[in-house]
Amino acid sequence: MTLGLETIYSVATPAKFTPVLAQMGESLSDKLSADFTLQKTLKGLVTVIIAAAAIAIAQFITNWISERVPRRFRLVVKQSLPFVKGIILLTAIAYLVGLFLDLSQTNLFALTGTTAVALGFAFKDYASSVIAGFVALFEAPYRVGDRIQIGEYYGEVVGYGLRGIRLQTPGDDVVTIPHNKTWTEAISNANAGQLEAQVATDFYFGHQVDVDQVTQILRQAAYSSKYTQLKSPILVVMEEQLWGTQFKLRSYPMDARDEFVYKTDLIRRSKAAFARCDLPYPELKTINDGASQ
Amino acid sequence: MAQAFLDSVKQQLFSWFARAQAADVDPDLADLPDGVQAQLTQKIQALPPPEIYQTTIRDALTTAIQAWQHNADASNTLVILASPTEAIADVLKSSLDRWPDGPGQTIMPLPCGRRSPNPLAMAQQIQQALEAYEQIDLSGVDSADGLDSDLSLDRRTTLVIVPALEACFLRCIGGWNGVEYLRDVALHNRDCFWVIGCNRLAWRFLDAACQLSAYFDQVTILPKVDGDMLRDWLASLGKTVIESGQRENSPKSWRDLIRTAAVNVDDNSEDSQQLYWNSLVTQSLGVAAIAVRLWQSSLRLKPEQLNAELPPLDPPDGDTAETAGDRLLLHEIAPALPKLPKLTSPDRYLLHALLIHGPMTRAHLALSLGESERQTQASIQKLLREQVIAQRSGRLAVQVLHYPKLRTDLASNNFFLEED
Repeated sequence: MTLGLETIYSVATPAKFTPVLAQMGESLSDKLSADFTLQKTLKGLVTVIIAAAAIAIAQFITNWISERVPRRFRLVVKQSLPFVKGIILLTAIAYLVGLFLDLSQTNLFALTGTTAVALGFAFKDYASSVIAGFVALFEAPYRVGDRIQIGEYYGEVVGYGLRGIRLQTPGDDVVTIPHNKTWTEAISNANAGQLEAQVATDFYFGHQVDVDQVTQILRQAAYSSKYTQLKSPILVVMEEQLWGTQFKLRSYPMDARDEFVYKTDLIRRSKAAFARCDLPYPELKTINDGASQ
Repeated sequence: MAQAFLDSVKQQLFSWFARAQAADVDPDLADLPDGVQAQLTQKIQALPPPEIYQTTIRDALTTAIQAWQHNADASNTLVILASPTEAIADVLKSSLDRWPDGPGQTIMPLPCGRRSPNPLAMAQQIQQALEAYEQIDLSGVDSADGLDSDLSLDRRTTLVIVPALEACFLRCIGGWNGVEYLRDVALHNRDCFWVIGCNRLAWRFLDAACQLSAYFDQVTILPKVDGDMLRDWLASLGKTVIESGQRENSPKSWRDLIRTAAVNVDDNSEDSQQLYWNSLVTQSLGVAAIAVRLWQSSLRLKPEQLNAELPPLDPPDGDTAETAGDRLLLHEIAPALPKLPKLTSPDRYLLHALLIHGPMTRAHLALSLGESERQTQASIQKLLREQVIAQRSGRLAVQVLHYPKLRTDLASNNFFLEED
């Protein structure tokens, strides 16, 4: 039998859920599950333990290697982890299914439908995250090592799990975000698999400032910083605000991980030069006294 | 990335084989005593640049000067670029000194290799240095109008040598104003021909920061030396014989097989010599300054020679057929670069700064890194102890023998280098 979408959507409550399963169950062969023996159970347990250990080892080795290889190879090593984990999981699941289930053509078809309905109700979000995780592996909106922003969280992707990613924020917090956020949330990726990510550093001056002088100092600040990737462009853009003139220095560090230390270096160098040139900063005017009386 | 990986693998393989070969011959030979090392170092320092360097500089200069003297619109600058480990100022000066019928009146207004204590005042100091020469007109340097004025070919006889451009800047805000000033002066003074030496890494940086190659369009890079050139160049330094490292035992492992295939030749046969010099060239990246140090590090003596009174490296009457036998015989074993110690991220930034600027003081190094001297002190001490850098006359510089491996390491860590 086929189970139409209308049928699935009509099943809204657990009370209605049982008859549907029962109806589907009619099509299952009598021997869907293979015989359970102690030996098989032990094999299953060993498989689960081996898979868990293999994932843990893969994670440890990948992290260990990625932090020791030259910077250029770090992301390549890190990005291999989700694939390795996926392969281990798929292999383990395939083995367990083969061990405990008798997958004839009819059984497989029926089982797929049953699983879909069960997951749809019991583990909807989990299944959604897992599927989103697999899709994200190939669409790559983020990869391990990327610096991304999802919602209000920004940081480096340090872990790629079955259900979600782990993000290390600049404050050294680790935030876990489910993969299914990719269905609905906008994801901003600063480096997209590359080692360099653009860093925008803001500077503010009074309206009367010599813009050529500021532009020159900011460009020199970027060129002189030891962190700057000179192969990438360096740009100064400016914008007028009510309270002053805003300058934005756009440049790239050699390693996206140095983003904040790089920004600090740029500000330190620039401020020292601004002080030498005695450049005017924006001034905050107090609101007239009459308004407060 | 793939290139960096291949370079890294190639270098590793060379190191393995070289170390294996060196291990084979080491038990039979002893390191050079300090006295001999000192003599050799002195002789190396007095050695003229390789002939290929001199020829390249002279040929490039001859062509460029002829064009400049016969064509009013021809470029009046020539930039000579060398590896960061090569002392370009010495190479340039030595090559010009050894040019008997040189190109004309030569002046060298800027101090050679010494960076001004105040890098922010570099432009003023360059101006002061140039003011002493009447051939150089500093009026109206900032205006582009001067470019086309007075293009009389008869007055084109003066050569201005800037031996090391890297000594005219520091990587800090305002630190390359001097280079920009020099650029403007050179373009303004078309009656003078400007010969500028620079290290390739500094040139790459300056080109990014102040677009130098847009102004100085004639650039010559010193070529790589090959095995034959090296052999001829170093022949005057001492009498040597190449150790093959061949063992009597038959090979037992794959490594032995490869090693034996590489060195299974008679001592000093053509193949053995070719193998030695090619290995020297490959490991030194074809840079003479590295090759000569690598060659020096590969020299050994027979232990019995140490017990007797050592003959001189050079016989007093020169190297004639009669006296050749009296010279100290040095044995060349397979050359091997020293192992690069494990570097941290701050170490790499520090070493990169030293490669860009050439020899520099601690104060300048700290300023270019944007740190205080106290912050850089620990890294400097560590690198000095590990002999990755050396201090001479108060200035720090990268040890040339570490450069090939350091270069690969920096490339793998995404640092910009003289070429990608």
